[in-house]
Amino acid sequence: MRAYIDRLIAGASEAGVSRWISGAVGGVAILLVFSVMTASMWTNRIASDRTNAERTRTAQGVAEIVAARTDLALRESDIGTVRRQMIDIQAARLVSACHVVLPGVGVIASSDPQKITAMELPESWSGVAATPEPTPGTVRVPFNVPGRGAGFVEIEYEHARGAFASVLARAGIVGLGAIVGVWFVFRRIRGRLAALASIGTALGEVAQGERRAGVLRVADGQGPYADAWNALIGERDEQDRTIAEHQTVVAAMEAPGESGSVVAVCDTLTHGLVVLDASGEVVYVNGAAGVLLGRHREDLAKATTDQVFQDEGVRATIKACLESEMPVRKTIEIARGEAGQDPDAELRLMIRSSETGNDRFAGVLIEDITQQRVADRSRNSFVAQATHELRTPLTNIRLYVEQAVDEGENDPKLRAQALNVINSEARRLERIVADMLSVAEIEAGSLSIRTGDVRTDALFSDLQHDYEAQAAEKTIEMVFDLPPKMPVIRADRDRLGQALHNLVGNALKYTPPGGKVTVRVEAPENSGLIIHVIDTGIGIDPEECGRIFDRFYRANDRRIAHVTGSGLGLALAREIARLHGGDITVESKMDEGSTFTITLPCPEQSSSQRAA
Amino acid sequence: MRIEQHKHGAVTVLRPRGPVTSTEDAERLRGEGFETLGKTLGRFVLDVSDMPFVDSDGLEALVDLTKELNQSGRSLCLCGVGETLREILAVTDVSPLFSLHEDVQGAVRSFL
Repeated sequence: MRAYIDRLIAGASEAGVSRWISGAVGGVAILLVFSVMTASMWTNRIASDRTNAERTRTAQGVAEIVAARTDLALRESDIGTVRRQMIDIQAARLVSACHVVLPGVGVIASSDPQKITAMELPESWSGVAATPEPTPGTVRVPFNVPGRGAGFVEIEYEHARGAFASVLARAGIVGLGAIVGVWFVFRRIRGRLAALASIGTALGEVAQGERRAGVLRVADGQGPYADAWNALIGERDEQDRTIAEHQTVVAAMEAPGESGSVVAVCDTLTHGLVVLDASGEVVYVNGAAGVLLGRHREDLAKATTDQVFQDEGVRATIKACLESEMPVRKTIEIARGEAGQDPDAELRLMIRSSETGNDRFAGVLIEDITQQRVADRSRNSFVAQATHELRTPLTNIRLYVEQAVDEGENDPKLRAQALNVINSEARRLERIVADMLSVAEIEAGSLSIRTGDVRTDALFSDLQHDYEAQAAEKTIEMVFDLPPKMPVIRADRDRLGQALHNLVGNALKYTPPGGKVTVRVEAPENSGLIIHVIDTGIGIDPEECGRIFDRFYRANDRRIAHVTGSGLGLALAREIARLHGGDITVESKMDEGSTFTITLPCPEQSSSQRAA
Repeated sequence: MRIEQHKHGAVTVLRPRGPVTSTEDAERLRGEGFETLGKTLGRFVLDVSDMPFVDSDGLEALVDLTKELNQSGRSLCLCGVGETLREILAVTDVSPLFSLHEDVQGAVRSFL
């Protein structure tokens, strides 16, 4: 049977599993047969013993009655009564047979007449009844007839014996049926048993301390149980791997010192941090990375490299980090102008490879460099513009100095004109440098004013004097509309002059030849000073009006592309106005002109506000 | 109350004009704040130099904004904080939640 079972499962199972299964099935079948046989025999034995005991009691009772009656009858030598009694017993079918035996004489009465061996009753016979040992199925009861002799009554009854063969036959049938049943069951569950046996083998190996990866996996093709088991083990292995990677990353990121969790600290960084494992899957991402990448942090967890980063260069670098044996360190700057987001956003990604044991990781530190880039561009623009601004008066000074040296000796008028220009350009140069220094002071937060009494009539007279020549040169009509009585205010004369120079200089610069620049001053009593600088120039785009007071800002207008400027003048003018407790505003219409208005509080207000 | 918006380089400056004294004002402040926050990657400053007072709703809006920024390691940059508003922030013990600057330039410089 075992060989047959082996043959059945040999094709589907590996040798060890087949042996295990055949042994198990054979053992189960034999055990079943023996169990059934033992149970049958035991049951039969109990029933037989009970029946035999009952029959023995009946036979014993009958024998004792027969012996008593026979004793009485033989005393009277009435052998006929004894023999009729045998007939009655036979008729009653209480026992199988009944005999009255006299030692030395023979059977004088029997339920079977043919067994009678002595037809006549002698006068006397042996006095001692030598009762032989009864055999199973017989009961013998002695009697003694006084003066004549002893004898015994033998009763035969059906003894429950000889059923062993039937028991064996029944057990054999049942056992055979059991084997057939087991065989059918085995055929149905053969594959499942093979899978379970393989699983059991694997578990046994684990129990014996085997810790190789994949030891719990069983061979494929062993049915749904094996497939389900392998899938379960696969999921468990995957979870183990994920947990191990997470623990590795966390362990790598957690400093052993007293600083607590580095991960928690990483969550407070303004720089984004993304950590990817060897498969390119995100294993850690902080909140800033979510914001900078425009994604919810939860969505980034377990995401792949391609899902997180769109830039091909970044993807390739991360791939190199995870695959290369050599350390990889690379910094990439990318634009991130997505819909609905800041179109000028720029990010710097610092990508680094890392290795912990056999595991490789890629770390991406993300920095928002948009403001830095804007500042860089503004600074570069300023340097270019400032260089140009400085070069123009320097060039003029050099040219007029040469002219004065070469020709001025013979032509005093020409020399005087050259010196005037040199003087004008030197003052222009001085103002540019002063502006730059002032802006530097604004940046440093150290720009301050030194107030004193300022005669405004003298201030505007000087201003008019400074720009008359320039206005005439550009054929621009310049008008100073001043009240008859100009007040004396408390202010910083130099700073205020600086602000006015910038406003008037801009007005002349952006007004085409033939235009008009008006400086109008209002001095309402006890209400400070209001100064309007009105030009008929090119005007300012309304969208640019809000930004023209920013430092280094120059309007993006092709009409002024050829006009040089540092982008500092208006910023400085506003700062000076505010330091005096006032402000500056602008109203403008494209191609019609602009009006800049400085409001300065009255002297008392100005002083009190500065004190505050 | 109205809210002006302008840019300093890559930094957006929101400048509320007037006190926040009603639920509508607070909701406007919260709405514009969150919208700007989403558009600018958190690069924005709230210039409160013309916002002399906030009620509890307005204060809650400010706290909500800075808590949102906390998720990415930042806090709400406030500049030009007046005396009254400074006292409100101190009394309610929420000053540490904000990044306070004297003026817009200082606040913008913090993004460099």
